[in-house]
Amino acid sequence: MTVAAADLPLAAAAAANDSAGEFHDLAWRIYFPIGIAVMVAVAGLFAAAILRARRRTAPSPRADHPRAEALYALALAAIVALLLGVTFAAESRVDAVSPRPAVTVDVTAYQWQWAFQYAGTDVREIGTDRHVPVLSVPSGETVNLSITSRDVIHAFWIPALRFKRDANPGFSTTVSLRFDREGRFEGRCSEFCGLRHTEMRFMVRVLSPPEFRDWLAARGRAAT
Amino acid sequence: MLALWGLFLGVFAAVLWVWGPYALPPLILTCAAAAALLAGLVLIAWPEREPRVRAVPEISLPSALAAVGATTALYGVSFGLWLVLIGAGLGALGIAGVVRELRGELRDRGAR
Amino acid sequence: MTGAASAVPRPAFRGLIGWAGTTDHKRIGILTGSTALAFFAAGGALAMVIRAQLSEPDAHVVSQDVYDQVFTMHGSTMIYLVVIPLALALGVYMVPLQVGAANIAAPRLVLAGYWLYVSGGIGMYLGFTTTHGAAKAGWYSFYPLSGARATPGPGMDFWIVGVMLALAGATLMAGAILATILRLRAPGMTLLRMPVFTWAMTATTVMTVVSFPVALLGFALLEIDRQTGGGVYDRIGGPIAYQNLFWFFAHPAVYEMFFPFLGAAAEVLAVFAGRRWFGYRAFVPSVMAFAGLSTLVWGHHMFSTGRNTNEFFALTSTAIVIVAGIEYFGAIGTLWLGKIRLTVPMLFAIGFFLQFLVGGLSGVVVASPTLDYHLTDSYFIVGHFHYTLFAGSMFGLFAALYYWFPKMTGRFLSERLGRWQFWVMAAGTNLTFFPMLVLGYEGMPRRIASYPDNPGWQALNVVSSAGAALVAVSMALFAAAVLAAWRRPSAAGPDPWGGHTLEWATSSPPPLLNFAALPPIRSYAPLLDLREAGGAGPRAGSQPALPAAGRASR
Repeated sequence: MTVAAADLPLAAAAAANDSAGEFHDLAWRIYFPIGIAVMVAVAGLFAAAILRARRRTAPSPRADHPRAEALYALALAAIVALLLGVTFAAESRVDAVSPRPAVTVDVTAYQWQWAFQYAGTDVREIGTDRHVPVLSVPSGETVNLSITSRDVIHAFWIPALRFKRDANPGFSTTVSLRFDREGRFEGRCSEFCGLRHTEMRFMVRVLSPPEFRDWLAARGRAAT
Repeated sequence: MLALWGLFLGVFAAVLWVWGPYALPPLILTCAAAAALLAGLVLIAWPEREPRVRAVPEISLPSALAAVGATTALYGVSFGLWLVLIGAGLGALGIAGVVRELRGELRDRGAR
Repeated sequence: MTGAASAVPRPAFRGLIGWAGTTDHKRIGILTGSTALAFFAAGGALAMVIRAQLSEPDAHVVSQDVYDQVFTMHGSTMIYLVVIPLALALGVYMVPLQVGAANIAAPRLVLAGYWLYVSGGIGMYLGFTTTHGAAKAGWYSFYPLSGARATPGPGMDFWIVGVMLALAGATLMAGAILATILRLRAPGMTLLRMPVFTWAMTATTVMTVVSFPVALLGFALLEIDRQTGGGVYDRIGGPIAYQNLFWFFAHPAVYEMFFPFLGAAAEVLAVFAGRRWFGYRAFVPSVMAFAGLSTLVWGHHMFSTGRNTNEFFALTSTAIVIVAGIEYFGAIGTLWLGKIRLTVPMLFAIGFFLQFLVGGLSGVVVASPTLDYHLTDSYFIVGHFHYTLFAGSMFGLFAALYYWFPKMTGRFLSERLGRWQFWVMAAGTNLTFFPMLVLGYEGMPRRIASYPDNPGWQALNVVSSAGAALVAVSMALFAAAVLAAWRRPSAAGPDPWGGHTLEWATSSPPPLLNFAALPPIRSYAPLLDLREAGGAGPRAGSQPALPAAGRASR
């Protein structure tokens, strides 16, 4: 899994809505190390107990050890509290919706394409069988996405951003994201949505803010 | 035990009512907690009777038939009335068979 | 006599009819178990199709449409028709024996439940014969994808009705097991003297009777929605309402597929460590609290929906660490203080605890909403729940089968084949499922028939497919072991392992009404008590002398 960690778009500081950075810190600093340590410890204890117990001549009659069990349960509760503490803190940052985004895009999923409508403009990007839709966004600025679906449940997933949110029919969900690294990233539907779910992809193109504004203006002129 | 377990769920249901803005999840949970609590209380209030002799025949084909009949009828919902009717017939036969068995058992018990 | 059955002597039916209409809990248990294993073979074959399709980025083993049917039926088979019924089959067979009852409570309902389950399973598969094919909306069939507009055709209706029947059957079985536990225990068998496995079944069945009816409601509404042209779910809250109803059932169901195997593995660990389970007094409340929490965590499947109280469900989900940790403490304590015999059941039981841990720990990871936002609906989730359901439950199942097969048939399964099966299965399991964790982390979604040729992806998928082939070999080894036991029986006595619990106090296989006489019950390991009191060696090869506690006196 270390392979994947290397190509993450790492943010230097964990600012609001830096979902990739939040994921990375939480996973690689807290959850994965604890999980791997527990796995190694339990496997080691099993192995040690088996080696030790095979040498025994008779089993010990001791039925239980309430004090050790209670202490152990308390230790587990402390770990749980720690995990929840860091998770809740990270989640509140990732879930926070900015009231003043640099740009707002209405994302509509439908069988089996994406439509991106830039709020307050005529700019609209729609995928077709021959054209994978491209979501263009400015780097370093807050982008609000208002995600909904026209038919069944889809999910908007950008793996490089370590973020996804379901696109539900009937209501839309707003999220704030920030894209720190310029470039092109893959996005796709991750909720099984029928026959051509596999092909339901999009691209994210992260431009520098001036480039983005030029692009938006040009697309706006072309649309009118 | 069941009642305790129901209470456990109930406490969390209360927490969920307060915690989240959505109604359906705590509603389901409350129903589940209430069902478990109720079942537990009924069991407490209805103490174990003297061990009851229940004679069950070694073979009960009608039980199986009743189940298969009900099944067939349900599948009929998407296939048409004829299958519903066949299923209902089989189910009725099965239930009649079970009733006959139960009456036989009652008779046996009376005779003893 | 406590409760059920002093059977009315009737002309004994033999052969098929005798099995099809049996009211003997042991026969129903074996019927259910063997039916589930047959469905397991079918579901396994479907898994092989999936792995063949994914061994290349853009393979065309099956069409997209067929692929959707295949993974839908694979998941639905394994969950509704294999692991849940297997868990209940163990309970139907073993719980009456462990609590010293002559039969299960309400055997006719259990029999009817079996037939509901079989017909449900057959109905689900009949979908393949219809023009639109079998169901293809995934094992959880979210509305509106499972609605009449998005997925027309009778295959989906067959699936809904079939699943409902299978679940109704499971509910009947679970209710009867619970009633047996609550009402038919032998004199002296207080609640706190019930064996560990029976406690695990208690937790299982309590959850089942509370949560399965909700699923029946959810599926019934879905079928009505399909038949009436829609609108039912839209009126009560749409896709979110369906998900709440579904997961309220399906998350407890996940643990129904875990507790019985945990209980079985715990019994095996204790018996082959030659001592009673360590920390019974902690085990009982923790397994019941475990069942409670399992009923409280369904929302963690909905972290990314945008309409869910994420923090509450993250709290309950993560808190499972505490109760699960206590079971592991007991396992380590039992091993540490025991004198171990590494038999095949013991290998599988140890395998169960260690393999399940990978599933459990990856579960802690996805219990964090922040991490779940990335990992949900990816192959990480697929790897995670296969580590719990396959690497966990199926190892527990084989521990139970190798342990209890001599009781059920009077014959041993081959130790040699069993060892081979264990090691091949352990290798195959990890080769199959560990790459999935990595692929999901790197961004491969579930339920896709082809994937981009990203660096390393095909290699990981090929490893996974090769592992699946090894798993298939290990299953063939199990079939060989059963065949060998049938062709060249090696007789097992009433108590071949030096068991602790009442099922070992009767012949193998047990007679129609289970017990001629019961030993006194003073703890959760009554036979171990006898052996310790009598100063007999830890491996009493024969049935312990049983003080007369005749049936008449009960």
